[in-house]
Amino acid sequence: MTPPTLGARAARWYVRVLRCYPAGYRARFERGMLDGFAEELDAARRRGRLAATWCWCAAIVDAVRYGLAARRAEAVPARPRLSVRLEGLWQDARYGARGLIRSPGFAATALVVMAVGIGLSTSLFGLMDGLLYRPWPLPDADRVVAVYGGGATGAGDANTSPVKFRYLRDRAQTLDLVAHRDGYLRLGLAPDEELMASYTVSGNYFSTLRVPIAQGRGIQVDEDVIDRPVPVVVISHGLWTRRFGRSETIVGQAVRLNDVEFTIVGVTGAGARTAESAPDVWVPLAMTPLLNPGRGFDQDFLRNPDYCCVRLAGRLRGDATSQIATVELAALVDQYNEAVHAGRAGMIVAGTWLADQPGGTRVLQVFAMVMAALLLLLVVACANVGNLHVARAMRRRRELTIRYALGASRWRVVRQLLAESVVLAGLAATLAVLGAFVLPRLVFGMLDAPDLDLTVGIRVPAFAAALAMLTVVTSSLAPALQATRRLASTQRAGDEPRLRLRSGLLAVQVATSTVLLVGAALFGRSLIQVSTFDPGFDVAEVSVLSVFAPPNTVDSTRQDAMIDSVRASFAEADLPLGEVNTVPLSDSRFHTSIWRPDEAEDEAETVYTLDVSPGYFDVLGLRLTGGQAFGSSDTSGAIMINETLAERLWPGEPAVGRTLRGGGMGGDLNVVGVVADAYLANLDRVEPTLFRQRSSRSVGVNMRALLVRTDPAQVSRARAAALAVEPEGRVTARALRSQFENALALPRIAAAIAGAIGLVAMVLASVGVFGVFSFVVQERASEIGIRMALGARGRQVVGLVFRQTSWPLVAGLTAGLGVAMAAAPMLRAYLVGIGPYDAPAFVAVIVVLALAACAATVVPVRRATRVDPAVTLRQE
Amino acid sequence: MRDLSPPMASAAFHILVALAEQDRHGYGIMLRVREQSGGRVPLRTGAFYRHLSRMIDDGLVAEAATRPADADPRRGTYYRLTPAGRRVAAAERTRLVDMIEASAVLSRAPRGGRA
Repeated sequence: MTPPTLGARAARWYVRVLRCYPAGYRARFERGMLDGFAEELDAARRRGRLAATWCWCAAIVDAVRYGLAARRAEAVPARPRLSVRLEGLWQDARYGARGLIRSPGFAATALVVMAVGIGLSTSLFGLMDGLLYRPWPLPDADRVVAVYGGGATGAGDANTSPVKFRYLRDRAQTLDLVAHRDGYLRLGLAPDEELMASYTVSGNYFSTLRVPIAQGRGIQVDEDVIDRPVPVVVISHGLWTRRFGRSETIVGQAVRLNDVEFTIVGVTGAGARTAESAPDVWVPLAMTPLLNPGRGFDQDFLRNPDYCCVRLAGRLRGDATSQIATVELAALVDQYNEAVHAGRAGMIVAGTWLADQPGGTRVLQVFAMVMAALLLLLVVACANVGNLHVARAMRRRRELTIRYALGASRWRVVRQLLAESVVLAGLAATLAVLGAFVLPRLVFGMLDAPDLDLTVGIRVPAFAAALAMLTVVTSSLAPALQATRRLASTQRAGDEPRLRLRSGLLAVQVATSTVLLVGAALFGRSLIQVSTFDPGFDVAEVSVLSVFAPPNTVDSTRQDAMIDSVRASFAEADLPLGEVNTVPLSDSRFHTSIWRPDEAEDEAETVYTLDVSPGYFDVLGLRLTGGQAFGSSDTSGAIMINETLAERLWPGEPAVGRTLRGGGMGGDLNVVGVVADAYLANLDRVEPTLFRQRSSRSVGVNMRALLVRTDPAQVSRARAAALAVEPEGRVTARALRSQFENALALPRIAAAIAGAIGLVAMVLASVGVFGVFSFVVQERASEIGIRMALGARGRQVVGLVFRQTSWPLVAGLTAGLGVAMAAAPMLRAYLVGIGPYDAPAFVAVIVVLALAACAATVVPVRRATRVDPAVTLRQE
Repeated sequence: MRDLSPPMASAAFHILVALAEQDRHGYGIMLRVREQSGGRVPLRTGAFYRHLSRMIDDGLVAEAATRPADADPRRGTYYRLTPAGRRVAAAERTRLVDMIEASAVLSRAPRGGRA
């Protein structure tokens, strides 16, 4: 009888079914199985189709069931199943945890050190993530761009007039442009009403940016038409909650803003933001003239191409990129400069996250520097933990040897040693993530900072986990490998390599903390320099007077009247009074471009620009080095400049009597005087400065500051005079000193942070020094005992210990100083009054480290000299 | 070697018995087992080869080095009982016989009654 054979198709299918079985199994039995199936199928077919189908089904079920069973059976002896291997890891982890519980001192020390190290970096990372890399929270946020004026010169100001905005908006093909101008509006009628932060926005603002709306709608294009504006307002979710109790009938309600009646048409969604900050109210740009009827600037703002500024943003169309948009806008700006109004070339189109914005690079640099310092600190911490591991592994050597003798592989023993530090690092990272969650909130809660999205995304835990891994590798891999070396040999491994490892770790520690301490010392020195340094103008004896018209006054003439009476009061007493648009060292800056008549406008200098009255120089004690101060008779073309600017424009030549162009003024400008350099804008450097004669046009209501010599009697006389004109107005005085203190806040914080990091690093390094010295003394106790018994003096013993242990100190210090010297120039921009190679700072670091090292060695060295020869000899 | 002290699965015993008669190929064994047991041991492919592979691993069964004269050339491997397999099968038989003798009392006991 010839056996039936399967058809080719059936055979193919059955072979496929048989894949359920492991390969070895199939090799042995496939032929037989095919045989059997052929017989069965043949028999089944003869009984009918149904039986044949049933036969197939049964074969499949059979193959799956026994195939999987065979695979399972086969997997076990070859290689532990995954669950088994994981179980091994789990076992290791549990073993590690038990070991840690048994030595709580070690565990707690290592955990605290690692948690602090990882936690600080993680918190900073979380902050960076939240601060620098979050786009504005709008739909399709990655298509929304911020647009800056400037271009080739790289100046990141938003130098755009409404006229220029409309020109660009109507022509740009690659993106839809929107504009806003920020300011303040008074809501309601009560005289003590607070001012609301406002954005006056172009009509397409809401539709283009797709600002989330909670109630009603956004402002529409037909509501922002010049001369025919519709008084509609969109309020923020915050204002809606705060002032209107989330009223459901808010839409359609009327409100007064600066005495103009508006209709509320919408409420933005919670947390909606279309720039770094969010205003309380949005109104159409075309409403600008109506909101401040008394202000000439606002009347012409929408039509005069000289008037600036609106801030631009946009949404990229189609698949345009910001590079393409930048190119297109640059071309359009050229056209505009040709056809409408000459101005600066170029535009910058950038993402809306802070890191991408023109000022963001500097912020990023600061963050990167602090992050680098914190990571270095982590290295120091890791070296300490590594030292602890070395000591611990040494104590456990007996146990390790037994494990090895019982058949554990070296890798298995290493894994067990690593397990402990993995458990530690895991705990530390968990604490770190918790810290990163809490710390920035705490800090920002105290600082009353703007709304920050500090949601901890996946990136923060990932960062912490990566750091934890790094910690494990750097702190315990080398000790573990070292501890398991030569486990097989019966002889005790020498202590020499262990000491070498510990000394190496110590050298790394010393080097790293040297770098950090140099940073701290530089910042500290810089701070001392700043607080004792002469800003070039009189800080101590000057007060700033602020004059406030009665609340609710839209017309600036009433404030002018008050200021006039203050002026008169000072003139009567024959005391100087200086007026300026920007108080020295304040945050607000005003820049213009200036160029020589023989230069092209492209080569213009960007200069810090001040509008001042003649009394300004007297009050601040600014010295003239050439020419004369403004007189009351000067024509509008008279300007003064500081020495820095004079030196830039006409190096080595007198500047008085020369002519300039630009400066935000038309026509030729005559330099009538040169002023001695002073740190008027900020404390790190003297900016090239242009002084323009104060005119009523160039000074806005919010920018009017009066500077006087501090004299309480005169201030109260002036106040009385002003209040006689406007009984409900206010006149306040504050010391210019406070402005100076404010300007010092940032260097102080920088010095404090650098100092704290440096100090922690030094303490950790001292602990490392202590550990290594103690180790040497302990290991060589018997030798020291013998030497002492043979008559060695304490000093010789100390010398012995030092000879063996001082090289990491010297090597670390040398390397650290080298690295610090290489890295110090990076700090140049942040140092005031000193260079990056400031000798006192470097010397201070060396002295401090030497002292710390000596302090750390006192105890072990004393222990060494107290070794009792009798005791050690008995131990032998 | 696995401890194969009886009792063993009845299917395994049947396989040993089937091979004790003569060398057989896989399907032949399965058919013979069904025949022997009157269909009470429904040996299907998966289960059969599991038993077979274990018995090969344990050294009770081996692949036949020579094929019987009447072997179908298209059939797969033939299997044969090893001496060890024969001993194990004999031991199992002895155990079963002993059990039958020991349980002879069951056939004499009155139905539902008590001894």
